[in-house]
Amino acid sequence: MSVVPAFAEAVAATNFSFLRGASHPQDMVLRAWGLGMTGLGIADRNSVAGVVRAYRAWQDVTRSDGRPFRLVAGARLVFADGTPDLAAHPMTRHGWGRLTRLLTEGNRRAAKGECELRLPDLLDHAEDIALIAMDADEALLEALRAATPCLWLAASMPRGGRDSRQLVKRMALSARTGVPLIATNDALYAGPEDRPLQDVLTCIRQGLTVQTAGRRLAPHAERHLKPPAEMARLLAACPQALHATQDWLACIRFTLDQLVYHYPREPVPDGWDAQGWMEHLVMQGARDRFPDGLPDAYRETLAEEFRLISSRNYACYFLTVHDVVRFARSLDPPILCQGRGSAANSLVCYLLGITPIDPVREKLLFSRFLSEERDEPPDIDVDFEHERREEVIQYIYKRYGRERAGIAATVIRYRQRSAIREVGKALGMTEDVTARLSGTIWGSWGGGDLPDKRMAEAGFDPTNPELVRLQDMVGQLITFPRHLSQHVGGFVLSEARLDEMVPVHNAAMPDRTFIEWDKDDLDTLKLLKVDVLALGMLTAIRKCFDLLRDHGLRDLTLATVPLEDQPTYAMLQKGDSIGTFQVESRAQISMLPRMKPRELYDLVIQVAIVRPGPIQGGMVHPYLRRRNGEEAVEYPGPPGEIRSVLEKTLGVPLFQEQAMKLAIVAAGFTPAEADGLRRAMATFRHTGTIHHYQVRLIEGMVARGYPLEFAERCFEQIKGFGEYGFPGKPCPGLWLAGLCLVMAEMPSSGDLHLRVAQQPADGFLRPGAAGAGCA
Amino acid sequence: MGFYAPAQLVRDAREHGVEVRPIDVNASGWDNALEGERVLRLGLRQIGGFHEEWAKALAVARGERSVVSLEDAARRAALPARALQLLADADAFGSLGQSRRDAGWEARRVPPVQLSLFAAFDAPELGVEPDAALPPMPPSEEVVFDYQTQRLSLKGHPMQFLRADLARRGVLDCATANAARDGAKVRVAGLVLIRQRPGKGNAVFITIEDETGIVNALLWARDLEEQRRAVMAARLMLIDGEIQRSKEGVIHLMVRRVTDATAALSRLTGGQGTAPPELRKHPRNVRIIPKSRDFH
Repeated sequence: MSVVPAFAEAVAATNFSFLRGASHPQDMVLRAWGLGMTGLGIADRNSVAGVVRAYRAWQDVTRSDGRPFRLVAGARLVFADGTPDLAAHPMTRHGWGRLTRLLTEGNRRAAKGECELRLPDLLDHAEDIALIAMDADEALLEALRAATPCLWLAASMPRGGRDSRQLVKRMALSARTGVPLIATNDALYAGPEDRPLQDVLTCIRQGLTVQTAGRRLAPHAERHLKPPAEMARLLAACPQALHATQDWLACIRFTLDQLVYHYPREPVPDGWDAQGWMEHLVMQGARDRFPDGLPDAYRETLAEEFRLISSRNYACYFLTVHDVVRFARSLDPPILCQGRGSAANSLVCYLLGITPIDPVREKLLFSRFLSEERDEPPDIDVDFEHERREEVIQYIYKRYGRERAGIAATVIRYRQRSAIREVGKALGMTEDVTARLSGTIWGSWGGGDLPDKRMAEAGFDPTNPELVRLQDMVGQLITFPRHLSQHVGGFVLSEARLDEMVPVHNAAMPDRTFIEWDKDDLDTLKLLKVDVLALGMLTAIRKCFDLLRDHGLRDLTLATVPLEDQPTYAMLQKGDSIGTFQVESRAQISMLPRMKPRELYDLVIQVAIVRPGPIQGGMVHPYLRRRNGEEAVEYPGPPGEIRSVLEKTLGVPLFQEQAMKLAIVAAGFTPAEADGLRRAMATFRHTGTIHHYQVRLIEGMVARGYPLEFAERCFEQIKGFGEYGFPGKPCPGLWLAGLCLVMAEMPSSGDLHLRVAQQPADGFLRPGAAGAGCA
Repeated sequence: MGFYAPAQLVRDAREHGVEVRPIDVNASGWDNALEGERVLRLGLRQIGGFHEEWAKALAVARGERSVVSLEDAARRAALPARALQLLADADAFGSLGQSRRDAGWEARRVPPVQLSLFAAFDAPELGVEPDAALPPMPPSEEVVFDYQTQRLSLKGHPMQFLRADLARRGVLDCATANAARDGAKVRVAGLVLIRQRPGKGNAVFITIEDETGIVNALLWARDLEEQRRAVMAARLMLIDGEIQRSKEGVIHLMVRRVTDATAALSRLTGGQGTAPPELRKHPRNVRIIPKSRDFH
């Protein structure tokens, strides 16, 4: 057996070549690595949307194994002017910028989802890009070589019946022009087993059925990633084409981690640096909130936050968010807005007026938001009145320009219903059949496959070969990306041109543009995003305030809503909460009479516990029992130690936040370990890594004098958290919003009509306002 | 946003002693508004398909003087034929003494463009028509039309028109069912408001409503499979089950069997009326009552 030749597949499509590629990017990477290739070049049709996913998979495989395996990001350029396809892989950071600019230009001049490229566009942008011509004549090769020195001509054996003749021609062309050949199989999927799915995709794309598609389907299952030895065998006549893949790899120096990025400097006035200006604004806010001087506890927290923000260089991020919030409030009438999510843990956010909660008073952990150990960008989400959010969005575009601001993408994926409909159609089933099949699906009920029983119920024979095939194909197609859409409000802003980082697309909505990467991609590349979200409840609150004012009843703002209004709690205790934000669901209503809320924090707890997590963990009932005096409130272990953590929830851990603090205080975790625990909780379902922490937590607690039973219960609780999304921490922010309504509904005079006035204002928005602000 | 449909919010308001007034071409703005201490006027935004500009134009025209006829509204607020038809179908000409059918009739008569001669004299172009003596719309049909145009009705609840028949079949109303003792076996029927299967999906929550109130039903997932179609498809649901009262006073109906009784709804329109033509759907697809809200 001879030595396996070095080979890298340079032209691999993923399923981000929508309805063409038949494998996920990660599957392509895994397969290429598994086959022993030295590298893989991703090339999707006029897009780099899948490269970050491939990059993540690449990080995972190479982390565990030192064997050299490179991932090359690029795109396949498909032209509107008849020029044959070209694979383009940037060699440097500069080249990457040229490629994304090129794609952006093509996208911006076409309708959403299209990209209109012509050869001269490429010739203008070809600097520092390695090109592989999938097919070419002498003239094209000459033109391309004038634009970039790194040019190859694809050599492949596509099993078309004329392979050898074609290869000879290519070799002659290569010899004539001096453009080297490079071996590639122009892969559309990872393995030959993916071919049936690719056929179905082809049919969906062209509106055909497999029965009638005929020659429009691929004649064979050969377009997969082939082992290097097989490539060598196929191209035995032209061994230099295999070597060329190594030359090609060698000349590409660009990797995605070179995409460093800076936040825009706009909000910082001349003469200030970002950190200084942010601290200045924070201290201004501190003087407003604490006219008698900042208490010591706040001073310490603030110093710590400043230090972290400065060491990570995040000041600009805070300033940008502050700037957006400031703009919204400066309008006449102002747009109500408030930050939510983990930003509520930050005193800086509070003093900048981004979040309404005092994190020191609420004992929130800043490390939840930002920590030394965790190399993750902070995430500030801000809610705006939904009917007026477009004003904020357009302000951002105007302030930073469309080259520097873009909304993140959301990858729209196949779901069961759409998959059944489209696969069924491609398999030649009639619409009444697919409609009846997909009609048995209710949301994500049951998930996964279509159970036989359900098919039988709908009147189908589940053993029918056609239906078996349908099931099989649907199972494969689910989670495939279908197209890109804009994220609900995640903005990426950048100091340098954004379109030199990632291609920008037109959205379906007028005046909106979005970038090609979604939230996960941005996280992977550590790009910051600002979430400009639309919250209908804020609109409702504003309308409610307006009504109160117009009728001379009260003049309220978010900041002046009284939080101790007893008639309101009396109303809630009766379970009379229809139309009241956050406590109006069935489960919440039935909890209210048991919980008998007396203050804001009670509601915060109720909203937190009426969800599956804590029920799973078996902790809700202890809380209610203790609250109703049916069970003693106790704090096991060393006196006073966990009391500070669990006092507010009567000794029962209810929040992720508490679980983390508990791990630190009672089991001796470092903050970094506690954060690891948090992440393990968050991804429990996927990875199961939480068990690493099980021994550590339980032994740690027992060693420090806690009863084993209590330690185990705590762990079960934490695990229960992980089974579902669960409240990271008490979220009084949303509560404040919710309570504003309740208060406004029930001024002391008890005139309930206001609640009603408010309700139609929000509940009624749907019929008329759909489309206006909801998108 | 919002967990409940407009109909439930309005019901809740009325139960709290608020007077809710209907949409009217001479009183409603775009938004719902207060007309007094405990008086709410529904806004034009409730009408499916109505545009905010039309509402604004109407308000401006009304600012000069009240609207006196459909033609007057069409001219002074420059409303297109579609807006007039939506208003008529929503029964918004009550203050002109015009019923839904009359207004619907007239909306189709209003000429799309005013001839200049009439414009010059600011004169109505429509002559007096002999009364076509259309039969009055039966109340059940009024209610159904209300639901179809604005997703709620102040005139009644669709279930009340089926009550006599249901009572004969031993079906309780929601209020009676809720008043039953713990453990009582009951059969109730109502429109499905919400279906919800939270979290891991061990239970399905179903809320049904009739003219007397709502019943909160709970179906264990293990019982779901055999009646899945009925649970998922029913817009009008008949439930057999057992009342369970907790000591805090929370009442649930534990479901034993669910029957899809949606077909009964078609009786409300007497088999003759269908949706307003503006909905422009194939008659097969017209919904008698808007869809429930399903969460999962």
